[in-house]
Amino acid sequence: MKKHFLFAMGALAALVFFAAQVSAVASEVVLQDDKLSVAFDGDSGALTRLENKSTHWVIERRPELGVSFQLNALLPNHRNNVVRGQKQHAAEMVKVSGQEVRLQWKDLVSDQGEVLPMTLTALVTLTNGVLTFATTLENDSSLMVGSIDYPYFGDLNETSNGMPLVARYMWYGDLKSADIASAYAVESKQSLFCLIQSTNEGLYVAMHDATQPYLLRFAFNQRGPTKTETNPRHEEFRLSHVAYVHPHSTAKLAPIVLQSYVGDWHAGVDIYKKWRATWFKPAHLATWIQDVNSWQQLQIDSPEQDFRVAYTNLLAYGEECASNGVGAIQLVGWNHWGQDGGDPAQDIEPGLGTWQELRDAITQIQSRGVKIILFAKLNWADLTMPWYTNELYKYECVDPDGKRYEQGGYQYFTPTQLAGIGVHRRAVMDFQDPAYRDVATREFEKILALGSAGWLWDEVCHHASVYYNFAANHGYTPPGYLYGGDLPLGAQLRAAADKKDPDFLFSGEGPEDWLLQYFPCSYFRINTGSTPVCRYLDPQAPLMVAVTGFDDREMLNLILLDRYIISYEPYNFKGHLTDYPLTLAYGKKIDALRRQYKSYLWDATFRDTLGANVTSAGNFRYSVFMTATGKRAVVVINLDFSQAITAKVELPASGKLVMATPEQPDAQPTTGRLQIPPRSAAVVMEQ
Amino acid sequence: MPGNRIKINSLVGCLILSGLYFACTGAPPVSAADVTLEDDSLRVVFDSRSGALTQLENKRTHWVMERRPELGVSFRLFAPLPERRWNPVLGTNQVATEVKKISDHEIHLQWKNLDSENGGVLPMALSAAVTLTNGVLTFNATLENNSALTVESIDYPYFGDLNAPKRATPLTVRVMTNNAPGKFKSDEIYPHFANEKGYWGVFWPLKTREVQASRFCLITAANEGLLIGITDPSAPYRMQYTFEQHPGLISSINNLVPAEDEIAGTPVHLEFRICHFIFAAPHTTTNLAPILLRSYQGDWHSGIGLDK
Repeated sequence: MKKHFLFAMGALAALVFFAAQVSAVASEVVLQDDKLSVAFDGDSGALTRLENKSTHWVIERRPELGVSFQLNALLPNHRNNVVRGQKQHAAEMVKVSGQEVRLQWKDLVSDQGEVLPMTLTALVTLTNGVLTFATTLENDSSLMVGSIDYPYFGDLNETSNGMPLVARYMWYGDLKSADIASAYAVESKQSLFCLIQSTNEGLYVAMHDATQPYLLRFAFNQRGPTKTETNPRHEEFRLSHVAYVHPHSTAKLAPIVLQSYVGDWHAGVDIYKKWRATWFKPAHLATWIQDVNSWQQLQIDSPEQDFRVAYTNLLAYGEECASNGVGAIQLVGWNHWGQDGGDPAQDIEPGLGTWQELRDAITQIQSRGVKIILFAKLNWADLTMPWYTNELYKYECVDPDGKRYEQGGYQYFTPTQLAGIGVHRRAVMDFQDPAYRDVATREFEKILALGSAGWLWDEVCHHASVYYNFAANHGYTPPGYLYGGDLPLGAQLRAAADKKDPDFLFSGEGPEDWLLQYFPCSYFRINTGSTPVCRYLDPQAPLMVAVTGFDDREMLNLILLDRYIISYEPYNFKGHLTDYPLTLAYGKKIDALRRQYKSYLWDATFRDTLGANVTSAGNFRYSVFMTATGKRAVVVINLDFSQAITAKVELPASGKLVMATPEQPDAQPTTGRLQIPPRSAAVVMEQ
Repeated sequence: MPGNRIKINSLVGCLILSGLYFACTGAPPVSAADVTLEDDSLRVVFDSRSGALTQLENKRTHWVMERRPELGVSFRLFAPLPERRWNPVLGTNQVATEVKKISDHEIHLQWKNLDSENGGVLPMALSAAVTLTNGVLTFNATLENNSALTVESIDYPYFGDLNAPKRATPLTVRVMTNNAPGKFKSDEIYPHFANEKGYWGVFWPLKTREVQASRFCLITAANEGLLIGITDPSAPYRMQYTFEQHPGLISSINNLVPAEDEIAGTPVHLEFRICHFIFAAPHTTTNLAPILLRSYQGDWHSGIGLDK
């Protein structure tokens, strides 16, 4: 009976749709402005239609597939107990104003037929094309609510051109791309927003709370195996708040904001950038890191106790950097048990020398104008260490069954470790635990005592596979969301550093965007497919990229293109700068070019590909910079290994143009038509 | 290792010379100090001082698989110390106590009192018998570990300079999945070589393949190849085929191996070795699983046929 009803409704909806006259039925409540139209079913409260009125993209199309919400009220032993919106009737649905609807569901019926004393209230507002969902759950039951999926789009549709939608989100210095046709979830631990991107338009969906209160999943699921009337294939998209709402408590969920846009990812990120400006507090930066600079990364020891570079031999590396204009060394494996051994301890390694020898080496190297940045990790506790056995186990994360979570460790050098034998596995430390944050701070203070110009927290961007800690006695009522502890710990460490030196640099491996407030210098690795979203968000942020190849013009050209800092890493950061002289020589030319044309290539605003048009038959990329005075520069790189390219650079309403290259830095007049040799770069500048 | 810069630089002159020679004749010269096994199919040469395998050639196709003698390596093993795990024994630092041609088909090699990197001289003896019969080269080795240390792994045989037949010829490694002949996994090792281990834990790009999942490994060129594997599928310990590209790549963007014999003064060479995870206890003798090697003409089907 129900199936027939659905079929009839589907047919009716299809007729209405094909007539391009999707209108609100009597039982609907509609919010609309000149940009968006959104409708809710008057009985269920389900979101039944969403349309971009300017482009006519019907984002949510078939009303019969609309869903109000879903939540999971956990039974004892964490067994699932689903409450589906399809089984509920809205207790209230009031159009509070022309821009606002209030929906409420009460006494929720679970799949097991039990009526649960819970009230879910949503305030939906539409203001200037910005649709906001503010939701509250009053949980008067004795059950923990694990997750609430709201808003819930039961029928996410492609745009009229029929091109597949992709999810774009920030992670590790990149704007990743994922096919949403398969089950996929973007997670707020990596990105506060998800762009649902079509060819030339998209939908910005974001968690507008940058404090990491809990995990939000931007979840896509394809439903319906066939194109039948009774079970039509459709794509679901839901915002799953993994909020763990305790029994007899009320939780205000993070606001969810939707906004449609025309254009590619730049337009979507522009929306995020505007919101970001309301909360992002830029960190203080020492002068040296703001100028054109380059680094070397150097590992001197591993858990296999190779003890390759004694502290007393470090000075030679520093002098090599000084003589080659390299301004900093990221020193890895200086601490006890080497890189990825002994964490989170930040004591010196006796196999490399004494504390004083390391301190002296740092002082001597820095006196030559080369900063030392000490590499460290505070996320883990090495399970092989007595400290773990005696104390750190108290701060480890456990699963709902009380079992320890582990990170698998990393493999180094010997055939046995590289085959996965004897690797130092680690417990995952709980950053929500104030006591552990104090432990971490004490270890960090050991780094401060060594007198380096900064530190780099490797793996600051994740907690392995752990999201929540379920252990008791960690200073809060479990479970605790690990990523929620990142900012408090960052603040605590920053405060400790500020007591000693406000210029002390905090850098990290691919920190998430909100963590850049405490770890402003971000180190990561890229490839030709990487999207420079961090650079687009912050044109002057110190973002650093590894260069490993022995004649790595390809990577260096990408670094020039996206204004990244060079991190020289011969032999996978285990060699001397001069081990790869071809790479070093070309890198120096690139930095020299950036110094010569600093206002264009370093101090300017990065626009990625916006603001110029570059065409070529070859394999190329380009980027656009805008100076403080409005002059533009375009960097064009030839990605082909053996073929020269001809590229035509067009700048609207440009002035006189000149061109320079790393190899021929003196500017020459140009029409914008460039011959670029293989593996090379050229810069066109507006005079 | 990069720290051995003097050693590397001293090699460069020899490399350039040998490269020039190779360009003219295809195969490097055999010195009086070399010990050679050969038949109609293969020619293999060992350095009489170090015991390193310095040349390997398919005589029918003139593919010089191991080319530059100065890059030859005898073996490598790891014997961690109680207080320090890093304690390799590098064949390049040993002098063979015996490199003797027993017959036209067989050479015996032995290394004794091995000089380790951090544990001094260790009372160990590694003995190898290399035979060449009807184009099949077999490596039998035994480790007598009279030390108080456990020997975790031995790399043997060890090819320090695995070459493609020609500079422009790609090389691919093919191994089976779960020893199923119909399920091959194929990966390029030249001219592109993608690192498959964590960059943090290696100096050089590295690939390993499990012997237990594929009792043979094919290194295939355009129309010929090299089969290497074990004779006894019931090998008592884990083994790996290991490929390591020195000194690295032109760029991580393209994973291209430099196309010359050296780049910026450093030799470019592909190492290939069989790693035996023997975990030989103190005061024990361990027979290593025999390793066989032979070349073939044709595509990988020919390679498989030879294994049957």
